[in-house]
Amino acid sequence: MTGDETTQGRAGAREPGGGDDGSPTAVHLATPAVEEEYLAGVRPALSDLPAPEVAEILDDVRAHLTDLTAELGGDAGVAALTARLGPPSAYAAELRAAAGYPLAPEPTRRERYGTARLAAAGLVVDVVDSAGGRRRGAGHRPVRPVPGRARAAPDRAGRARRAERGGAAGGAERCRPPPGPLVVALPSTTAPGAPSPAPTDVAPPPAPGPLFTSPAAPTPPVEPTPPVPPAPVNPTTR
Amino acid sequence: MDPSQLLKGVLDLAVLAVLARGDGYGYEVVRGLRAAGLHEVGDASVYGTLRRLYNAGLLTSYVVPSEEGPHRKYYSLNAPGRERLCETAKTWRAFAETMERLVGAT
Repeated sequence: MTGDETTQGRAGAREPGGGDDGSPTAVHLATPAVEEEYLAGVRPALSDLPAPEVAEILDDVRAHLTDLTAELGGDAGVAALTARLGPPSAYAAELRAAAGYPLAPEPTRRERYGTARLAAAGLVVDVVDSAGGRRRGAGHRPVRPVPGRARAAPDRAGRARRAERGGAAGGAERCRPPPGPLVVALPSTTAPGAPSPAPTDVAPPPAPGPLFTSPAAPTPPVEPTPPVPPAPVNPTTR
Repeated sequence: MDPSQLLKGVLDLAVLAVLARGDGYGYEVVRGLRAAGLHEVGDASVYGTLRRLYNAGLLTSYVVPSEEGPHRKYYSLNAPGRERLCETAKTWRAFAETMERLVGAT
């Protein structure tokens, strides 16, 4: 009966409350309270970001926490999540740093931590970038969708094929860069059919402008000759 | 040297490479990286990286509803993303060769 006690003790704290049909899918019904509790610690650290972006992040993180609680045994509480991920504020700071969001207004301890990590990341990126002699700061620059080079455009099929081959090797040989400049086709028009991702019910990405402190990388010179006639790329969604 | 410091500079490349193998939701990408041997990668860093790549127009996303839990948001490499992958992979190879020549000589 010890196992029973444990279950009860833990489940009691996060009773989902008023299940619709009373079906015994306790694991899945029981987790949201734990996730929401952890999320409640993440949310304030994002409060300065645009609401749609916050919603996107929290969607991702919520699913993440669900996966983790499932992995940790479905019986996992906030303590187990914290043991695995660190406290919510640290999670948020790490996410912010990796996402390249500007720092939150008030310089709290958490955010200074974020700055340090951001700086460290930037340093290494610099090193890698300059080693290849490629344009700097590209990682933080909003990229306009570009036609051309879409030769292998059958998106789904290509991906499936790659997935079957299952390999970096396959991917690498497929995308052997051409001798010319890599960012060739930057015509004045935007790509047909390849604009902002058109997902089903995901909110469109907010204009990247205000979100990022882009280092204003200069656009490489435009070559007027696209190597391939722009194939219709259609990042369709299921 | 702390591998996580090295990892930060190449996390974009690693995430793009994982997604080149197939679409994935956040935690799938985390697991893909771990399975590839990148154990140092922080979960939150991967989620943040996905958001940044997405906002940069290198990924698309779509939602697959789930009956059991929150819906899953899959990320998918689009044409600019593949282009970035090629480009960054090239940079990486050059860098790795340079370092190997340097370190290998010691």
